[in-house]
Amino acid sequence: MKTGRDLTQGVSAHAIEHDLRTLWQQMAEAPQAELQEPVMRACVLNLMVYAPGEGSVDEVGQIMAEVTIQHPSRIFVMLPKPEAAAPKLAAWVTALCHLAAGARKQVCCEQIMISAEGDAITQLPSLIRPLLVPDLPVVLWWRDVPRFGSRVFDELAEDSDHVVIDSAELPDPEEGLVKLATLMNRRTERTGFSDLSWSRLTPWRVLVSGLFDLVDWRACLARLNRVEIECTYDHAGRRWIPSQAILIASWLASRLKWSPVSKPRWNGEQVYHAELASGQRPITMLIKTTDSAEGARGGLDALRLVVESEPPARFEVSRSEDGVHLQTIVDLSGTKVDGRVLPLREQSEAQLISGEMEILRHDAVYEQALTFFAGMQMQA
Amino acid sequence: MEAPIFENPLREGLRLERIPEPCVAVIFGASGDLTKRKLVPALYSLATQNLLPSGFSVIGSARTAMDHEAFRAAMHDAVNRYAGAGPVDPAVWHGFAAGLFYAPTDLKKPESYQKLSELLEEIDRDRGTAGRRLFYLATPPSLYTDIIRLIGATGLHRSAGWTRIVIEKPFGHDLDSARALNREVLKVFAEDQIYRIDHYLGKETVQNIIVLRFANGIFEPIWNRRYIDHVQIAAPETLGVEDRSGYYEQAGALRDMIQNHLMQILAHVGMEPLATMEANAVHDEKAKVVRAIRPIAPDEVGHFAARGQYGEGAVGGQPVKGYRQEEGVDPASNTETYAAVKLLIDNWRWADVPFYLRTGKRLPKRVTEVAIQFRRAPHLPFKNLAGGHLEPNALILRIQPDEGISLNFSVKMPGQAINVRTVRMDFQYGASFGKQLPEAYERLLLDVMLGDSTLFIRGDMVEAAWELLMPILEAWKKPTSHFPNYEAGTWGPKEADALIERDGRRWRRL
Repeated sequence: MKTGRDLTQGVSAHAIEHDLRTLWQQMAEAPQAELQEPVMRACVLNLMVYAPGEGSVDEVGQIMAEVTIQHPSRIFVMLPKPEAAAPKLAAWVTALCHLAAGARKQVCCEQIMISAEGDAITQLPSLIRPLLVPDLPVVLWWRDVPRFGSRVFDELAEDSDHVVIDSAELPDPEEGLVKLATLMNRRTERTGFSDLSWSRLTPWRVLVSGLFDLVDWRACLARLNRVEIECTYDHAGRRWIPSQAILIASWLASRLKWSPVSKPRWNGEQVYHAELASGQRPITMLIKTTDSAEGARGGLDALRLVVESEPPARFEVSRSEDGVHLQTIVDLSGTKVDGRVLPLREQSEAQLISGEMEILRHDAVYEQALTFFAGMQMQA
Repeated sequence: MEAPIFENPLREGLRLERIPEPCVAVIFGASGDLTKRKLVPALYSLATQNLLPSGFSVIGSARTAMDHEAFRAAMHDAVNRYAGAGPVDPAVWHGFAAGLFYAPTDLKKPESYQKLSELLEEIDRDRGTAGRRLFYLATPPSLYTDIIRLIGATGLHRSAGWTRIVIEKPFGHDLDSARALNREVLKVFAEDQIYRIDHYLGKETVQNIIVLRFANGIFEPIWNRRYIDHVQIAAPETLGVEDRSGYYEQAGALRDMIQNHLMQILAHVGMEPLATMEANAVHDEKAKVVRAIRPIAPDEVGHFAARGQYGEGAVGGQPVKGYRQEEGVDPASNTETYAAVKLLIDNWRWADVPFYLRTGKRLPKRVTEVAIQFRRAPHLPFKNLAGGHLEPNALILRIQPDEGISLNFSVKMPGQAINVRTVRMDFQYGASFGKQLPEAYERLLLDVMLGDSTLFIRGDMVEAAWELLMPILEAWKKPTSHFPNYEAGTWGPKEADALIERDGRRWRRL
């Protein structure tokens, strides 16, 4: 069910509120409502989605249909078209409904789609702000290349309790993650940040950390000399590391309290090299990249933690050949002592966003990893 | 006891935080149904969610002769059949099965426990479990004492790591046997090593009773005798005795459901507010409220309890046999398949607020719920009441199925005049969270491994619940000539209706 208005008829927050009321009335009066139990409106948070690009309407629509099963929300889907010559705002309201348990009751939430062309994009924050449902958390999902420092991003982030980005979209992850660290440190008190690239790392982090649940193996953490990370991406002529590789490397280093010795550098085209230390013990970190299919997002293939001194040890987590499992190998003094295989459940965008909406608080470990990377970049 | 603090620096901040240290689960009675249907499927499910540590191992122990591979194959079939996570993932299973072992055991012979000890040491060496052991008694209760004694006699309970014992319900058959079992187990294990399972406590919705009460400021001020008229806790079942006649003939509805599950729910509803969620704090409050329940004198049993046994009838449109016609049931059986009990808690919060508990087999519907029935408004200035009367406010906590919470309240119907009717506001787990609720055994097994006994029953609570119900059990030993006294598919015997109606109340329509 949908109502619509555009700027030529006067888009305003007041007009959108009116359309929302009309929408609910229409739903209550619809013929099918007589045959069913009344429609139930639910709202647990405000979700603002910034989603440029052709096809966003459908893509985001499908994602929201899934997300709202677990997190019924008032949703604002912003569809910016910055390339348009003339400023124009249009808005329309829809309801997203699900049949609840027993298929008798409809649970519905509100979706406000706002198309903004040209300079009208800068009006988005002021249009949305009065429509936010009071007393509920506000989440901004920036489904685009993160534009830290842009007016619209900054204003929307200012209104948010939580901002979700995907650092995999950064054109230059090294530079972008440093900017994010700066922004985050400025806004830490008020706003939490989530990164879908970081969320995708959870199965890797669980497996890696699980290796060191055994006390004997945990002792190897204090003897590590070398970390090797292998990842794949579409090089397309660039020298570039996926943000996931940076994040997992920074996570390890910050958790184990390593210190950067020098700024990371490239060895040739495909190896990113960082020197770190834990006290007097030097640690070499290598991120090796290989080509993937054109246009592929890129991601981790393997993570190896190596003790080179006697007795040697190697702890490895890697993606299986079939791509749907993660496998672990523990090799102590040349003898393989452990090997597990666990499902790698690649989560869809909807699942990732749903996961972030369950947490809605600062992720201190992520923030520390990001801060560590920013610190590494500042070395000589 | 606090869950152990885990000093792995890589664990911090992981959203999956509750992962135990590597340990071995020794399941006595591993050839039985519980292992196949619940325990190993739950462990496999935990493994697929990355909630089990590296090196986690299981030793299945039973009389049946088999080797490790045969046990792994049997468990593979069981997981395929009973795990909720879909068919077994071969790659995941390979790793999980590497931790499954089998030890053929004569549970009454010390030599068997010696062999078990050797296998445990081997697993400690090869899989890094460092002496951490949980012993799960999945055998018939008649074997509990032998197993516990021999664990003690052979020193299995002593190791370099922690040792814990998990005991399934029923914990005892009556007060004397429960006390005896507690004495036996306490000779070998300390109370904080003992985990008495009631799987209802692993249900999200039972845990939600505490959250609802103590995370919301609006309920606690009215959670008392000034505002509440009575509480009904109901657990009707549609199933008959199925293939459990051997157990059920000795147990009956009071032992099977009221002594444990419904008493636990009553304790959650009746307890005083918690200062912390530390296990003993929760146990203390639960035991306190159960101890405050007014004892029932032998000559009062008829006033406070009613029993029934189903005869033939129809459930869900299907004809069914009567209890006495079921396989394995004595044709003159005195076992009650229905029990209703009225309990009074003698404390400041609940004085004169009856708690009505009822359960039965072959009733029309399967549901477990708690209904908090509030007192009626003292005066209604409205003349036009839909249906001629208003239902008092009720807060319904649905444990299963259709998990959720409802609040019944009165509103004005749209129109010129003031017409008032009762409506229901619903929260449904399924609608609001859209997520599959975790299986109770997954949560409980994980908690044992983490050393968190919050969702288990402490020894004093078990004995207090038995002590309360003993007069009823004694009275019901006498055969009754009135069985069967309710038709399968109806809501139970008239005696149960009389139990509540003589107080001027009636059972909720479920």
